[in-house]
Amino acid sequence: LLKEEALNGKKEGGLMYLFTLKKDKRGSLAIEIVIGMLIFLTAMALLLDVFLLTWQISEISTVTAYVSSVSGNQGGINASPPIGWNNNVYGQYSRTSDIHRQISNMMSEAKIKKWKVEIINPDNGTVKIISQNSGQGVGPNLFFDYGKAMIVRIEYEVGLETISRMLPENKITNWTMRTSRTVLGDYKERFDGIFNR
Amino acid sequence: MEYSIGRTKLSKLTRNKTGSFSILFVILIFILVVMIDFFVNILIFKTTINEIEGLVNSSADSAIRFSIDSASHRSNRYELDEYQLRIKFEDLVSYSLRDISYINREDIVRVYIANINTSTTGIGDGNRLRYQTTADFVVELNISGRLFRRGGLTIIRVSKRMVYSSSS
Repeated sequence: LLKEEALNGKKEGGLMYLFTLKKDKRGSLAIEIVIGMLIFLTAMALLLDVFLLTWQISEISTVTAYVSSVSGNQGGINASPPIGWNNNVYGQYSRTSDIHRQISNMMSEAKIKKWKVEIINPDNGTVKIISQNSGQGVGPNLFFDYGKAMIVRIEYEVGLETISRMLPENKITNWTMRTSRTVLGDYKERFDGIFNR
Repeated sequence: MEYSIGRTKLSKLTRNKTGSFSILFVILIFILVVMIDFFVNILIFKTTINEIEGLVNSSADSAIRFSIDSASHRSNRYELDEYQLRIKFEDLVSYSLRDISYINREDIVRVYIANINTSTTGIGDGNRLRYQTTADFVVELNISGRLFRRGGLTIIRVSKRMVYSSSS
């Protein structure tokens, strides 16, 4: 077959025609420039994605700080304020719905589409979802007594969006990251139902 | 003689432009890789330091509140359990570090409180003396490059000052 193709070398599409093309160096510089530009653009897209990723992680750090400080100060997160809660003394109580709204706003600003915020009781390993991308958590009444530890854990999904749009087949998958803070409950429930700092 | 032959060969090579663009191409890619490594490292360091600072802030806050004896405070006395403060702070930091994806626990060298000082010179409204606890919460973190490993010890020192006001 090769011999036959070699004999019909001038025929377009034949093997010899390809060899002739390969020997012809015209335009090779332009091809190299184009390939170089493509590599350069991909590198720039990668840098852009890394910047975006850092910003998203920084935003998540803010969300974690917010949820942990609120849940620590309130001694947990409840659907409604506990009996005896005085807004003038302790500040406005943040309900589960308030916290979910706040988290949703922060996540949409950070362009994070999938997330899950949980509070874990390290004593018995109970995990309760406070907020997630699909909607508010179950709204459990979580109360941690004074000095009891609680772990605020956030799971979120990030990816290299710009570079995955540039590539013909989207083989760059998103990956799940996780961050957590451990805080102590700051309120003591008295026998008469009044919370004390 | 050998020198002249070498020189001729060298001048021939200089005049021969074949592959000159490829060399530039390789140099460009190398510079790009170094640049990407540089930026990625800077961003990883920044993110890690941010996270550790936030972590230390929340852990220090919880630990210091827990270590002040609230029962004594109701009787206008200020008592801070320093031992408990140290233990709680270390526990809270190490608990939190278990679940952070982008920080290796092996990179944390030491978690400690450098000094704890309690005085009555706290600043507050009015002319009353206020109790003040000053403590330096420290996390020592080993930071090294990701693509090209470079060892080095970077100490992150976060100082947390707590002003505790007395009712007396």
